[in-house]
Amino acid sequence: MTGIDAADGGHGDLGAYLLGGLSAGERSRFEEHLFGCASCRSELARLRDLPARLGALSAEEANQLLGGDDPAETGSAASAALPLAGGTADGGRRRPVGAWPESLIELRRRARRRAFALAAAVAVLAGAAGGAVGYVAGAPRGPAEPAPGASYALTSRHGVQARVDLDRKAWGTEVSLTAAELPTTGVLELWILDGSGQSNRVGSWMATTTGKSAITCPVPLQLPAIERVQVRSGGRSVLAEVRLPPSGAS
Amino acid sequence: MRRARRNGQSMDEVVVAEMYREHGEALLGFVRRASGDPDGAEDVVQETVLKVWQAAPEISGSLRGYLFRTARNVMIDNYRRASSRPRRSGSVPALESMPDAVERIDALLTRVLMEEALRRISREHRDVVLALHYNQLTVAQAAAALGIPAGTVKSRAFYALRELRSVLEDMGVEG
Repeated sequence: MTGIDAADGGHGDLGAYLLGGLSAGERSRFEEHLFGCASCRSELARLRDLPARLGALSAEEANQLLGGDDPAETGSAASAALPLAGGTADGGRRRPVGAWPESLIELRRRARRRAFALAAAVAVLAGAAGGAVGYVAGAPRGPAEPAPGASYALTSRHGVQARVDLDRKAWGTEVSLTAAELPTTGVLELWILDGSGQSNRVGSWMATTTGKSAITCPVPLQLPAIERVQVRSGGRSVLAEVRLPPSGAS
Repeated sequence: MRRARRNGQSMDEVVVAEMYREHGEALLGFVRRASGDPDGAEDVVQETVLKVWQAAPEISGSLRGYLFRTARNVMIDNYRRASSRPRRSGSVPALESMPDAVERIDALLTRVLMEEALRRISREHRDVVLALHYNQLTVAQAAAALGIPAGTVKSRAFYALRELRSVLEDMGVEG
């Protein structure tokens, strides 16, 4: 214990400061306090990476995961994003004990078989992401089935950590960006490039002092028509870019 | 070697089934997202559970965290094997480079461990993290939304981060 009492004067603002809940005035007062308070600085050093770790989940996912009555019983946002293959009648939440069907030897045998399937899936991603580090929550599929959206996460060469979620809507696509390590001043913009070479600014916002932003923009384009999603600075240089797979690639 | 049996299963199978029942779904979600391969995901999960059961490690922290990290290693091993296998030219696009694959899987591991940690902290702490960090409310707005004084929001924000740090340490996530 460092002796910090959260209810005690300036110390008490540390948590809210890190979580971005202080007003501009409170923030600068706390920063002044921090300057002269060694125990706050040491506590800050211990906790300061947590907001970035929290950034691993988008606001929507966090609300989905944590907003329910009993989050401990809620399925993972990661697993909720896809229906379980051969899901059980209760939505695949629980698997009865008896559903561990194969003998252990059979499990080992099967485990060796799936390397190529993984490689093929990763290959599609590599081709799709154009070098971006991305993953597809649900790759766009053929038109016959109601296809899920897609999600990509990347760290750009500018160091921007971005997660882009694309949700199909009747009117087009809802594009959500959650990003960290953005510039802390100026205006930031979200741009969509379509297959015909048109680029459109679909949103702009003020940079935050924490370098983190979350923004959701309605885009009147169907998902397959979207070729790239870019985060640009007000000066229009591209800070991060996600290239989507050509439609039909998967 | 078969040990005592219960309901027609060996005790080993019971242990494995238990591990699978408790953690299988969460692992499957993680592996599906990391590999993008719904068909192979179940196999990765099974191999993971099997590996952990075979090794019977002494785990002081979270078994789930340990399973996730093992699944990560299984996926990376598979990927390494797949990338060293010759492929028919032109039929498959170039494989993602190994460091990229590792980075991508690790990014997702960070994410699922964070989900797990957030589920473990108390409800009061979770609500404040959700309000301030994810929903970007100010302390005053969060106080109104949660029906608690602003001072309580601040104090819970601080203890929420401390609890999160301690849960993550328990799960083997370095600060």
